[in-house]
Amino acid sequence: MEPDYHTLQDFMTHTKGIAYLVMAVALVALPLFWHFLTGRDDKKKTF
Amino acid sequence: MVIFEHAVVDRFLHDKIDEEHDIESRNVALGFGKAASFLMAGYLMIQVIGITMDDDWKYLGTRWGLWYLIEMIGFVGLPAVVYAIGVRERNIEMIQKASLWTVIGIVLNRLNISLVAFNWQLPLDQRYFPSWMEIMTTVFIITIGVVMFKFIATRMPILHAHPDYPDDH
Repeated sequence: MEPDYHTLQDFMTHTKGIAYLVMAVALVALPLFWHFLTGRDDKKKTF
Repeated sequence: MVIFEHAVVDRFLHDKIDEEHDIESRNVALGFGKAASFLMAGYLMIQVIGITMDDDWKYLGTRWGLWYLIEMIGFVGLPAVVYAIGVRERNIEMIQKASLWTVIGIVLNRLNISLVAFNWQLPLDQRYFPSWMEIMTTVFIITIGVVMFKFIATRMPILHAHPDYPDDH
């Protein structure tokens, strides 16, 4: 069901809240994807 | 595009490629495939954040929304995964196929923006469609590009070292 927005503040609070959740998912998902992408690369010694 | 271009060169101008260039191009394909995969995943995330900020989730179930999802999942998400698998497996052929997929996706995206979804609210007879002269101009520009590239790649030391200057390439 579509939330009922009465003011721009309502709308921004709702969308920003969801956007923060999406960003949290992205912050977890993108490093995991990077790990999958580089998982079989040759390990470079850094010492 | 670079990966796809090299796949085409490898197929049609293979006799011009020397061994060193061949090895280097494999490493370039692996590196660019990795970069393309991660950037496309990032682009997908940016799109999701864009949908969220405008609260456009309700439109995804419409016909235009489904067309958008085909573009995003079919021509961004899936090629990104195929690139990633190709990079993991060190499978150049898979990366090259993903690059063709991506190029088709870019063409589809530009056509969606400039033709398919442009002024979508107007009746079909009022929508923009390029005239035959515009289409032929596009064909002309692409043909000139291909002919110039082939002219240069077959006559200059682009895909191989010049025999007189082997160390300067």
